[in-house]
Amino acid sequence: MLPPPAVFHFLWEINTDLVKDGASVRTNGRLISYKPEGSKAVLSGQQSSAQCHVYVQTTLVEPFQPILGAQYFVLGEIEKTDGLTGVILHARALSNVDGVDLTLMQKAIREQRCFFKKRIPEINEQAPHCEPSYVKNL
Amino acid sequence: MAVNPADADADELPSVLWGLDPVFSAYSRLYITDILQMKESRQVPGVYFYKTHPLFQVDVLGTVVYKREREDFYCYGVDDSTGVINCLCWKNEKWNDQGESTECRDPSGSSRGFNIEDELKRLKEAERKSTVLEIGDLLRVRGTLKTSRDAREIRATSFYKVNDPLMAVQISRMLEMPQLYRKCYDQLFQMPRDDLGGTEAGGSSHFHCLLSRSVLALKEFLLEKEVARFRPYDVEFLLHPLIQSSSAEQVLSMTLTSIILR
Repeated sequence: MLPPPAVFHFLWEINTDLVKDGASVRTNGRLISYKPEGSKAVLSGQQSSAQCHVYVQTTLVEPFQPILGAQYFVLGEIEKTDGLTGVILHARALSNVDGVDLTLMQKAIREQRCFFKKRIPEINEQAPHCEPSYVKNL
Repeated sequence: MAVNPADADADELPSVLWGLDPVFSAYSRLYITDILQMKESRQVPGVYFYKTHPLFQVDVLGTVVYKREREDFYCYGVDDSTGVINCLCWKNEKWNDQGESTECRDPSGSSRGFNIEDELKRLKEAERKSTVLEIGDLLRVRGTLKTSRDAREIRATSFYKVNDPLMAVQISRMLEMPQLYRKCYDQLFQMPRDDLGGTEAGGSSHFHCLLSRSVLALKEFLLEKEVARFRPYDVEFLLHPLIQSSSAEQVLSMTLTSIILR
């Protein structure tokens, strides 16, 4: 009855094998395009110098006010397709979080993952990295 | 540690000592996955154990992913990224009569001064709005934990929609939770040490003895006087004969005496 919990993933992790098909995730990125007729949006994120894109299906969260260039927080299910788009995120919740402190948020997520990993190291799948917050990886 | 041989649940903290753990009286901020996996106490149903801490009240913050509305309550499914739990949020009847709110408002907005009725209506409306949420909104719930039909749920004592446009509240919660766990929830519950005079082995048994004598004194008094309700400080005088041994406790008893005499 209740949907599964949506684990926080960074945008660049969604295209990798860390996230399985059908998994519930929450992530954030910058809205760079939106097509209302197909309910398709594209979020982009940056890791070091590499840009990555994720397609978002926004059927369930419409209508919403799209602000291109703003940061959005999205929660939904991943569908891995073999087509050109690759991975599609079917959004169940979408909100504008423009102005969010990205550095602080990433630090918080990493610290939380570190904590989870230390608790149950052998069965933890949610922490791909565990870097202490004082180690800068830029 | 003195173990009562009659107590079959030796691995659980005896229920008489639960009040000594501050976590028991607080709304614990646990991850929802821990809330769902906690074991129920064998001594008292309705109380749950997270490691060595007994608790029954929790505080969660998460995204609403499920909503069900009935006449008297909302049932919101809250997801904090570790788990999803149902929260039963009762509606307040005073929010229902909002029909006349718009008519009484002064449309011109002239400086009539502070109109208490209008302000009260606006307050009620604001309260009501903070309790109606849609999927995707952020919800904060504080309530008691219950298990009904094999599912854990939270019966909210207070709940409200959190306005978090910059995700500041969620980020600070994410930073704070591991600290809370390390400093508090994952720490083993320690029995309070007796005064400096007592030995390590004798300390806790002396404390148990003290505790059982004080419980007995209170019970006898309540039965004898046929007291139905009482305030704690009214009966503290019963415990005075029991706590005479050390200087620390003399200070305590002096404080209690001064409170009672005031």
